[in-house]
Amino acid sequence: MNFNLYIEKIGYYTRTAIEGYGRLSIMLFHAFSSIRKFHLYIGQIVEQFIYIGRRSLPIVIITSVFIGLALGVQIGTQMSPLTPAWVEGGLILRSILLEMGPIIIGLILSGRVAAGIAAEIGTMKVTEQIDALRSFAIDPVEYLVMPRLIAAMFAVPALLVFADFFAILAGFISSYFTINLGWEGFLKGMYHNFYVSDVFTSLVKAFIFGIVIVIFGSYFGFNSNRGANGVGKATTLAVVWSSVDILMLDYVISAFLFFL
Amino acid sequence: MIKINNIYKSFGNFKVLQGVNLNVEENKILSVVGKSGTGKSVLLKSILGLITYDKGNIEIDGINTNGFSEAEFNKYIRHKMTLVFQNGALWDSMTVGANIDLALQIQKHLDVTEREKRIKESLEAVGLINIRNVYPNELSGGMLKRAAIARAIAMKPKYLLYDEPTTGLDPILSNIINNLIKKLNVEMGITSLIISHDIKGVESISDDVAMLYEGKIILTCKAKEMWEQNNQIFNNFIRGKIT
Ligand SMILES: Nc1ncnc2c1ncn2[C@@H]1O[C@H](COP(=O)(O)OP(=O)(O)OP(=O)(O)O)[C@@H](O)[C@H]1O
Ligand SMILES: [Mg+2]
Repeated sequence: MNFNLYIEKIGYYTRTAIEGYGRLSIMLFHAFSSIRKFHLYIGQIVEQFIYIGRRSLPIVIITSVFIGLALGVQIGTQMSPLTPAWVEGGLILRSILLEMGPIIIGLILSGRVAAGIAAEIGTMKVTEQIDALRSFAIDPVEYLVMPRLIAAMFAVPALLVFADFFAILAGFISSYFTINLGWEGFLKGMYHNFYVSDVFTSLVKAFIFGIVIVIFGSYFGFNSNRGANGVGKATTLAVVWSSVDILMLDYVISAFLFFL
Repeated sequence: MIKINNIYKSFGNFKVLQGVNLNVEENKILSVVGKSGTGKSVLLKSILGLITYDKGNIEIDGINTNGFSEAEFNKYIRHKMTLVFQNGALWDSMTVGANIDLALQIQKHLDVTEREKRIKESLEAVGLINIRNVYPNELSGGMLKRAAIARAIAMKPKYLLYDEPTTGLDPILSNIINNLIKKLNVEMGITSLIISHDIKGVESISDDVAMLYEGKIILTCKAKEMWEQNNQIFNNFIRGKIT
């Protein structure tokens, strides 16, 4: 490829990305500012809480268990023989609270929830249901995004509590089988390495990832093109970009809270 | 009164409306006919602000909507004007009853008794009283259309825009809908702008008829006099003559 063309392409994508983030921020702001009308949408909020929260619970538990099991094996086998075994309890606890829990939740939900929202809103867009809302003076962001946003801000941290619990439990089981660490040792390790700030970090991440998932799903849904493959594309973009942004923000939040 | 003054609209390089002029008089029924793809739906959506037109202006009760924001359309226009979409555009995540209820609740803030009353009345008017708890995807095309009309008339707007309300309905249902449009116009004074291919229906209920052709309104006349026009394009069109 010609060098100039290459630069041009980079310029084009950068501009598109900046524009995209700009419009996405406007939508986010709009959704937040319509929260003051939440009392009109209690039904939708509850429905979305069930969809985002309860329906995601099985998959969240399954993935957390396997991540916990794998962590137990990896950490257990990599610790030097000179380190007392009970230390593993603390290592598992911290890696799950700080990184594994929020990341699992974020990625699983961007696959399940962001994709679902993009598909639903995208279909509404192409079948003129969004225009129908507007024609009745119903604000589509207020009606479709805000209830999902509120639901996610509660549901995702709640799911995280379950994810953390099951991952730690699985971590214990697998350390028991790999390095024969009993529950007293595991608890001792956890106790020595427990910081309230870790729990806080974990919940902050979940809260923010919840917002990211809803906003990316909605944004790509609203921008889907006419036709069924428009909706398919919107769904893919929502998953890809919410995942990328979750990983990016995960780093930013970790670094930020570390320097705080 | 709706005054459409010299409206232009293109999608990219594709010109759709090219200087549309049309007036919809108070308390009247105006029908617009025209070939498929000439921009009839685009015209209706422009009036409600769902599509922004490129040039010209539209005045509704003396208010010029050119350059209006979404919020201004909500505030000044959309509470007194409803559109029946060509494909119905019912919200498919909720039942027909909930479809009718939503705007009554969120836009009009009506109490439960009044909402109940309007849901029943409007479903009755379109002959669908027993599908209240049915989801849109379980309905036939004709039922969808009528449910969409029910949702629109429940708002009791001053203006109703109908995008092909009788297309896809059998002759008897078409009559029922046409009579309903007329009745709403006569009894409640609802000013109606109808897009229609149902020439007999147009003749029987409209006060005026207009034809959209190649991006312009090429003719407006009294419905009573529609068979005595001099415009060849219009004459051929309403007689279904292949040219
Ligand atoms: N959002 C849009 N983006 C791009 N093109 C559009 C859009 N909406 C309509 N068009 C184009 O504008 C033209 C007019 O469309 P419109 O739906 O108004 O036709 P119509 O007169 O209502 O036809 P019909 O009688 O078949 O409903 C069509 O060629 C259509 O492809
Ligand atoms: Mg049309």
